[in-house]
Amino acid sequence: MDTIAPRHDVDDVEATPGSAKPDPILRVDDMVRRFGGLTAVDVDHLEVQRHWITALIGPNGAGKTTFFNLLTGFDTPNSGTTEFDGTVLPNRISPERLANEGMVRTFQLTKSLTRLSVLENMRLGAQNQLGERFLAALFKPTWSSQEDEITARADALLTRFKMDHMREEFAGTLSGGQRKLLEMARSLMTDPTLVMLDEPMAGVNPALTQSLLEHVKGLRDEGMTVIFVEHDMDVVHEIADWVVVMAEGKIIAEGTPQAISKNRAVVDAYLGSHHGDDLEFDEHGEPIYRQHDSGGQA
Amino acid sequence: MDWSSIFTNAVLAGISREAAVFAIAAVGLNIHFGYTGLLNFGQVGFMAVGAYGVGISITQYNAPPWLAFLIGLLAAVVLALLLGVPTLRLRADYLAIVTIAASEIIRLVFRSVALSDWSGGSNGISGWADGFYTWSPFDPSVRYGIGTIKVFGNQAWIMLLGWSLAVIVTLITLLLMRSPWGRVLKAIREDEDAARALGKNAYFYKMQSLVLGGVFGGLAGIVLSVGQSTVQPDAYSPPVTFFIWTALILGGVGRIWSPIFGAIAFWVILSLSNNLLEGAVQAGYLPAAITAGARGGAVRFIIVGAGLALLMAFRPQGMFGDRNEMMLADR
Repeated sequence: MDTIAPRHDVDDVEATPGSAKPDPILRVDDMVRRFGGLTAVDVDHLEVQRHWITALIGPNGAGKTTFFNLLTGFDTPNSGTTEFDGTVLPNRISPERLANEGMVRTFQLTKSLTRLSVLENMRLGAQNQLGERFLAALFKPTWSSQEDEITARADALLTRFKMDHMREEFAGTLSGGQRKLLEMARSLMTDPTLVMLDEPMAGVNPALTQSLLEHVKGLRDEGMTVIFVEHDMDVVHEIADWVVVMAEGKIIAEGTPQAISKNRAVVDAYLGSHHGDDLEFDEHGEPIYRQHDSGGQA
Repeated sequence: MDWSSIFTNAVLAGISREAAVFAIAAVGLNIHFGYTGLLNFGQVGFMAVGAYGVGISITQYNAPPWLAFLIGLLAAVVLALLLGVPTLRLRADYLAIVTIAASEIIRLVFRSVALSDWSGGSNGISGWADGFYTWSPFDPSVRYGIGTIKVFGNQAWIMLLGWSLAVIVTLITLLLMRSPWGRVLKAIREDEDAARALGKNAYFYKMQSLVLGGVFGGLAGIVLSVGQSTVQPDAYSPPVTFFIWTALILGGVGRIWSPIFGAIAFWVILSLSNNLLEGAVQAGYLPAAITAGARGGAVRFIIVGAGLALLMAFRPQGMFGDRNEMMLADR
């Protein structure tokens, strides 16, 4: 981590929904996911800049997690195209293939493999293991040298995440925060270019939050691209280069964290467009709705 | 009470070919459930297709024993693929329902009147297993063994074969579970989505697991039918599956050597409960009404069942399991 990967400045990127980025790693067009009559995700266009930390925020039910699942192959969109690192992905693609291509994700509800040791959790993340083939697995000499390399990488990552003293413990004995750390470290074993973190800070105590934040920044500095879903605006302010706001399945705003927190449309999405207004009624007793020009800077 | 004959019977039950058959089938079940988390309630179906694969290919198509043996194993592979293709993408419970139904369908098809020219109907097919005894080093008319524990030559040969195979499949499992391949299976057992997010094709691995465990089930069925020199449909009824599950749970789920020791323990306990019960009735300790007629068999299963319930209450991890590890699964 001696050299920090260069990244493009945020200032000359237009802060409008679906704005073009100078070097997008991920490009989404016309992605729609319907559950019966409900349109959970309806994204016209989104580009995610390489080497940035992009935060995906939005009120509950905005479709963030569904969008995440669509991007990572855990769900299939009704329509839409995704371009990852210059190649257009098929509409139906499995999570395992995306992981092989360098897109890895974590989960909102941490999925640590409880009855595997911390070290085994880590080793599992490595891709293209010879010993994962049935016949080769029977003959240890065919995979033992690769296993040693994987173990060395796993140990280095565990040391970096300050979990090396727990390498032999069952992952199920770890605390919630430690599991989040383990899941992040394990995802790095896949050698990803794009790391997708679904609420990485949820349920983590404040002391550990700080160290998690540093680790996320570390990923960017090493040249990875990070997309994360988050509710805590302080966290977003601290680490995000760019913020994408979703509401009712659509992307309603984009911009730097500073710009976003002043954005009228975003505040309306979170609090409703009539916040601050007195409730007024017409002569029939029906409430009067006033129109706001949403999207403008307040 | 005749303690020496009770002891002899218990030892003979523990090393019997049935115990070896249970051990082999339980190794397969352990791969399914203990390592991959697949709920297979139809292991006896794999045994049946293995046994019938051998029996039918010898009696109907005059196959040599080695070819018939391979056909029996291949039948288990085909069954695993048939069961796995539609169900392995679904949740684990679906496989459980499909396997238990499939094992009954298999039994009923093989015993059906319409197919009796081919599979022998409810009588099954017999008189085809001689080819498997030609390599036997034992004289069929001589009793082999130590002290009072003696068996005839053919029986000794099947026991030798059966236990050798049980050890071989256990060693194969040991190698596999210490490899990255086994690590993927265990990861799928813990959380399939996590494994997929890390680039593992869970469906493909579950299929491999189902096939491997199913082949071990087929192997068990072949040993059983060769040992009985007959393949008879009702020897492959659903309770057998659950006895094998019992043996596996007795030994401890997800442990390498537990199927072998669980199978031995199961048959020893069954023999002991039977003989002790009879001995106690004969000696007048218990009223004769307990074992009158067919009751004895039922009563011994009541005893075994109660014992299992106590085991689950006080030692849920079985003989070899790690209680701490087991408790982690519920967190």
